Amino acid sequence: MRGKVIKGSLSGGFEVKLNDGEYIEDVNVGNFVIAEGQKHKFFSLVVDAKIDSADSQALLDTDKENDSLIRDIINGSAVFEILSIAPMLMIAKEEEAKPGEKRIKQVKTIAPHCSEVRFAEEGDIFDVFGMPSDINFEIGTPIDMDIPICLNLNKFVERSNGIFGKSGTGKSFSTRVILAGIIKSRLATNLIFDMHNEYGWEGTDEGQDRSCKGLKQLFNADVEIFTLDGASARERKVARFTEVEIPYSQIAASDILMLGKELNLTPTAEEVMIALEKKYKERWLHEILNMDPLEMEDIAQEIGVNSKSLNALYSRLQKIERLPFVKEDGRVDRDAVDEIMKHLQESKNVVVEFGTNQNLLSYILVANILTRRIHARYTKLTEKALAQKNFKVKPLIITVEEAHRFLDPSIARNTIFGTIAREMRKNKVTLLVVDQRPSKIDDEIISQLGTRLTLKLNDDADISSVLTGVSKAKTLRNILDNLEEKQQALCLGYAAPMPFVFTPRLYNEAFYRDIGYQDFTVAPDHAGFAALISDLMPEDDE
Amino acid sequence: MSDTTYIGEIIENTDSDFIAMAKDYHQLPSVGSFLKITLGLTNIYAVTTSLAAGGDDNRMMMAMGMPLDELVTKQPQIADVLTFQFTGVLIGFSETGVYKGYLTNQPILHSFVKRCNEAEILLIAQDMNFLNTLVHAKDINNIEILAAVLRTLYCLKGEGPVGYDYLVCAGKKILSLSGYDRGLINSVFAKVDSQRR
Repeated sequence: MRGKVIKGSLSGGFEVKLNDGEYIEDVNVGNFVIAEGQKHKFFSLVVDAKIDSADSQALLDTDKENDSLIRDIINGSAVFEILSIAPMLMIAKEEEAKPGEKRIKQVKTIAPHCSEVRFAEEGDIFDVFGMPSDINFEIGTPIDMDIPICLNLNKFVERSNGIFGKSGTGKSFSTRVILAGIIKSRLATNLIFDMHNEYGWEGTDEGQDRSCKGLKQLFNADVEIFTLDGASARERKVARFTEVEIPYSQIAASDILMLGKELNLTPTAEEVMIALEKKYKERWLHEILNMDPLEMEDIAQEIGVNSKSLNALYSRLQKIERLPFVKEDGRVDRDAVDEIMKHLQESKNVVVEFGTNQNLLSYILVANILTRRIHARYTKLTEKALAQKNFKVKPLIITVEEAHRFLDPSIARNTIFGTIAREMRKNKVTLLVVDQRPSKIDDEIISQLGTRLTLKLNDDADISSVLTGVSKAKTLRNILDNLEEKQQALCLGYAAPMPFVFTPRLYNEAFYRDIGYQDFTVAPDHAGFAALISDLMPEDDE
Repeated sequence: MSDTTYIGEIIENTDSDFIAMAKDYHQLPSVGSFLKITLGLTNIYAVTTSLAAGGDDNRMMMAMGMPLDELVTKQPQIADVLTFQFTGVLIGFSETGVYKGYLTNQPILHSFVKRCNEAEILLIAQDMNFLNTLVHAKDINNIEILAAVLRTLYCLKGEGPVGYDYLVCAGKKILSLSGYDRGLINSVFAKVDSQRR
């Protein structure tokens, strides 16, 4: 594609008229293009395309539409196609670069009239996004290009991030790719709440209905699996796992409050639980679940609540009692948080699988309880690190699906997830929020997300929500509107030098190999075997 | 020894055009045909813009009831009375085979006018600036002349994709030169088109 800048402004971007012989259909919204100024290359994104004319009447004169000669003459001269491009960065040309000054800068000026515009090439992409490495992780390819495009994981792990997309767009695959990148880079440890058993041991490819490797299979010793359902893990032949059991004493009233919808709690439930917690401390759940119905009125009177409210709460909490992994304190062998913390401090990554407990009640309860306690431990660790200069805490990323259930505006301020999202990286704990309804997440929290990776969204409110607090939101909205149903995403934010549309990297055998997975169940060929032996037993140099 | 291949002789000229008297009415150039006037090493090029014929100014012409050739055979003195003229608009020049789409000097009176050969027409056609003159020249039938020139060039370029692409380029140039006058384009190419099909 070749064209020329014919109009433009710093705030509104450039308008580009395609050169004769160029076809508008060769250009897609989201393509990278370069406007060649005199001193800078303006690295830009195609954000819109339209038909324009030198004479507005020409647009209406369609009588000659069947005469190919007249049509070919008119097209590109009297009537022509215009691309709207948004300059995102400006790169000083080598001969113009001043020593000691950054070559890549935010756009502070515009390209002159008639500047040549062309598709970005490999060198341009690498200039901006860098060459692939462990830190500069290849997350896919720019649309219509076959070269890697990278995300800076160093920056990615510094803040909370989000992966959004409606169901079936490849959200889980993209999440898996990024998690694998972070594990390989060792820049942070991960705690993944895996509601649908997709990340830990083995996942399924929705489109092709076949299994794919989970993080444990890829990284083996670097990943530990915890499960709420040992029977399911055994059935799925998970190599090694630890069962999670939650004692009553670890469930706080605030944990139950998050389950308002799932338990159908009455408005007075909060008041009753606070009163119970005040009286019985951490044994409050044990007490209410073991309460004699005949004594209920007396207890209600004693703690100063309505007996009907207490009775209603008692009925609602029966659902908690029936959860197989929630147990009386004396029946729990080990503290899951201690075990998880031990692994995290050894720089291992932890996946909490839910087995057959794939309901929101279990998910929200467990994710909240574990996160609250682990966050408290990290807060202590970071305080220790502040006091001792030589003690460092590796960042922890907590991946949470169905995030809107934890970050709903009505509860986000009171939950541990809201706290983590708002405090950014203060206590070395950040979130990786995975969700299909970002509009249901508190705006304040969305605006705190450092990097947002968005696959196809249909709902207007969801699209607006993803663009909360983003500059050039209006132009990016057009790109989001036009993403493919599958395998296309917009990445924007802190870890990306500029917003970009890309085809996410495939999570397949090639990917497994690239991140260092070796399949020892397959016998190596002779050459491979010889190389392996040679590596293990090098010959003496003589 | 005088050159006998000329078809006319300039009898009146200005900075941009000329009137030539035809040597022989059988060799009158058609409107839109390419002409040249040679001055030393320089060829000045022009395009025929009109044709005219006249007789004795003191006597009114009258119908004779027979074709011109037969009339001249039967009454040879008629040929001396009849005059045939053509006009041309100057479009550029060449020196040592290099064409320039502007003028540095004009033909002089009594210069001989010749037809351009195919190579010379193709040389002129490389540079579309001659279209500027034809679009903007006053007091000529721009539509007919442009159409005739484009028909000639289309034939010479080859009536396939090469000729077609040339027509498209020429059309875009005319459109731009005429301030995007789609009426002009439609009229010119309606006449080129009929020939093309």
